[in-house]
Parts: sequence; structure tokens; C-alpha cells
Amino acid sequence: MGLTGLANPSRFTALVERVLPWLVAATALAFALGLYQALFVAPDDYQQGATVKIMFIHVPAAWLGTLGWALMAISALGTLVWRHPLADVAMKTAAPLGAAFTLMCLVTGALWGRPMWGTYWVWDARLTSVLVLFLMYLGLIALWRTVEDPSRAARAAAILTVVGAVNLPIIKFSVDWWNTLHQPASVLRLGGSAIHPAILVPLLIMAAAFTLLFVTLHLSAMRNEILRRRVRTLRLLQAASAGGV
Amino acid sequence: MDLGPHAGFIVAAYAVACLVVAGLIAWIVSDHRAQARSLEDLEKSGATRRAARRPPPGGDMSALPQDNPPARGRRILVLLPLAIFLALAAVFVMRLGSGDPSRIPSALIGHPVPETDLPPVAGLERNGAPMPGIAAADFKGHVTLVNVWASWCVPCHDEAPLLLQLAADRRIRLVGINYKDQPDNARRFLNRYGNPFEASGADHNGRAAIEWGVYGVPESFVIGRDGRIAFKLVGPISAENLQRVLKPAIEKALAGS
Repeated sequence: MGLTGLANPSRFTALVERVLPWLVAATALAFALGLYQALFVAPDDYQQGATVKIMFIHVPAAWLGTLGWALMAISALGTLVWRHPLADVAMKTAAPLGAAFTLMCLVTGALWGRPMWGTYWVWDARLTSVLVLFLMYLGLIALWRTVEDPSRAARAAAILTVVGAVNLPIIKFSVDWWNTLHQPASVLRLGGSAIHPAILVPLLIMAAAFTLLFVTLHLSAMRNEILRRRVRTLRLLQAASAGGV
Repeated sequence: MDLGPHAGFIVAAYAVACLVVAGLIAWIVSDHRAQARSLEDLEKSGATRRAARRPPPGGDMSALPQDNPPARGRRILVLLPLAIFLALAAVFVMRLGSGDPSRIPSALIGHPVPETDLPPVAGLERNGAPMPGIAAADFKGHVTLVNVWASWCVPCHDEAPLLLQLAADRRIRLVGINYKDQPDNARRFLNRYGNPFEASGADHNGRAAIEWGVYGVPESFVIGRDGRIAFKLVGPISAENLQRVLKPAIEKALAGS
């Protein structure tokens, strides 16, 4: 069953119902392992002390906050170019998830920044571009809510999403382009990771757990959205038959 | 598991993450329930049949799902922001009560002073001779009070008389780091209040302040005879904290090695 097969929403829903329990189990398992590693196994950093533990949620949350927008941008292309019926469902439901993870990233970052930098917030390029990402998520959610017809809302949201994707490279490279208080890339960079395996391994497990969580939440949110659209169509039909004749 | 001095922040970060995830799960689960119930109601009212006939008269519309709110899930969702607010408020109240914000722990306590070689502030004189700058070797052998100051720093004006008072104590050396200042202004400042320093280095670009981990001006460090930082005071010296913390710290450094 390829992408075209998935275009049938009921088939997609059936598939989601089938894989969801497994995904939930995998997510729970990954979090159990990741949190155990992060809280009990990983050593304290020699500079940050125990606050390095905040990084195990801050970094994955940041990744998913940005990946959420990347996912929406790809779905937006699916909406604009191929008119794939599930693309705008995927796009719409990723927005609140991405916003939530971005918020998590901002708050945990602030809570780390206070003891380590001496401030909750600075208008540094990385921090500011992530704040802009969060505000754009909110704007996008608002846009989805202003237009009632889902397919019309989808086209407007898709264009905004694609345009907003310029922020992603800005976030990624902000630490290289500008002199920021936020540290430069240390995991995904040329020349390999700069993090010791004792910290890197728990971090990657937590990243995997967060990704699984995102996928699980996203698929269930997509299923909800498909149900919501079915309810809407049925109500419209009902209203038409009640008012008509 | 020892979370160290910043345990509150770590716990708060994990609590926020848990709340966000719990919120997402609550939203998705309650949304699913609401949609499934609406669909069920629509099926019951016969709307799923393609050839939907006109509903019988007598308030079939009232059976429509929009009048039948997805009550429980909604109510939990409505309470969620309140729960988040209360949780955050609790964390903030806890943090508010804990400790004096001017006692920001310094990572440098107990460590040797950073390698600091600063040129003198141009034109500053002491007893007719040019006042020296700072050399790294100067810190060995006596107890030193290092004060980070600037003429543009308003609290520095308040603490200047107290510094002068401390300078009367011949057992300690007072050394200034003149942070991002104009030599002319620095000179005027010391002429106005009197010069407490035996030496003062000019930190034009703020580099030395970064090495010393300075949060802001003014700040004072007590350096022991071994050249290690024994104590750090963030913010201006006041008559109160001079007696309560700074003098005891100096006495302790004098009594120590």
C-alpha cells in the first residue's frame, strides 16, 4: 500500500488503529530507557553540573519543534502540488504538536539558562529565531481556525507554512552566522559529534523517545482530524437534507 | 541521584516537559472521544445513510450532537491551563523563598584567580606615582579584595565610600578592575570619591570580566593568600552586607593559609 493507497482516509484510519498500540508501547519503552539513562546513568557535566539533565529534554524538544515545521512544509507541498487528501490533515495536526515542543524547548532552555548563563532569556539569534518559530506556529494555528472550510484553510496555511520554512535554516545556522550566547552545533556537525558518549547516548535515546512520542501523537491527531471532517461532512449533509426540499 | 545546587531548575524543567506532554495526550484523547461520540450520534440519527430523509417533525434537531456537548473531556481541557498555572506558581513561590538572589553561586569559588594582566588606567595616579595595572602574580601572598567598577555604574557611586573605608584596613590589598570605562571618567570618579585602590587595571573590552565570571558591575571578590577566590559578592557593597558577609569573608581569608 503506497501513498495513493493511504489517500483513502478510512484505510489510513484503520492502519493507524492497528499500529497505535505498538507505537504507544514503543514510546513508553523508549522513555523508560531514556529517562533511566538520563537521570541515573549519565554523569554530571564538569561545567554544567547536574543541570546537564535539562539538556536531555531541551535538545530533543528543540529538534522536534523544528522538525514539526519541516514536516508541515513537506505536507504543504503535498497539499499545493499533489492535492494529497491526507497532506493537509498531516499539516494541520502537526502545528499544535510542533508548538508544544517548541514551547517546551523555550521553557526548559530558560530554566537551564538561569543557573548557567545567569539569565532566563537573552535576545540572542538562536533564542529569538526559536521564539519566532513558536509565534509562527501560533499564527498558523490561528489561521487554521479563521477559515471554516478545511480545504480552503489548507491552501492558505500551506502557503504560510512553505514561506515560514525559511526560518528553519535561520534557526539551524544562527549559531554560526551570528555571535550568539547559545552554543554552536555540537551533535550534528562536520567532523563528528563533540559530545562524550556518556552524555550523547542518553541524549540520542531521549531523542528517539521524543520522536516516537511525536509520531504517536501525530498519527492519533490525524485520526481525530479525519473523524472531525467526517462529522462535519455528515452534519452538512444532514443540515442540507433538513433544510432542503 | 544528586541534583546539585540547581535542583529546583532541573525539577521544574522536567515538570514543564511532563505537563506539556500530558496536555497533548489529554487533548488528543478527549478530542478522539468527542469526535467518536459525535459520529456515533450522527449514525444514530441516521445521517450516515446516504439518502438522508427529512427528519421527522418534533425536535429531532435537539438530538443533534452539537446540543449534546462532549462535556467531560472539554471540562478537563478547560482546567488544564489552570493546572499549569498553579504548578508554575508553586515552583515560583518555592524558588522565591529559597535564598538570597545576590548570592549567585560562582563556579570560580575555590579556584585560582583567572590569569589577569591588565594595563593601568591611563593617567591614574596614586601618591604622585602612576597607579599600576594588574599582573597575575600580584595575587599571591596577600589577601586581596578585587572590585569590578566603572564610572558609569550607578551602584558603584554608592559603594565608593565603603570601599574607601575598607582601604583603611592595611592587612588587605584593594585592586580594581575598571570595566569598559573611559580613562577620563574613571579618573574623575576616583577624584570625586577618593581612590581606595592600590592598583587598577583597565578592562576595555570586558574580556577580563568574562574570565572572572562577572554577572554585572559592581562585583567584589575576596582572594586568599594562596591566590584562590574565596568569596564573591554580586552587586554593590552596602553597610549591611559589608558587616554581615564581606567583612567575615575577609577575616576568614586573613585567618586562613
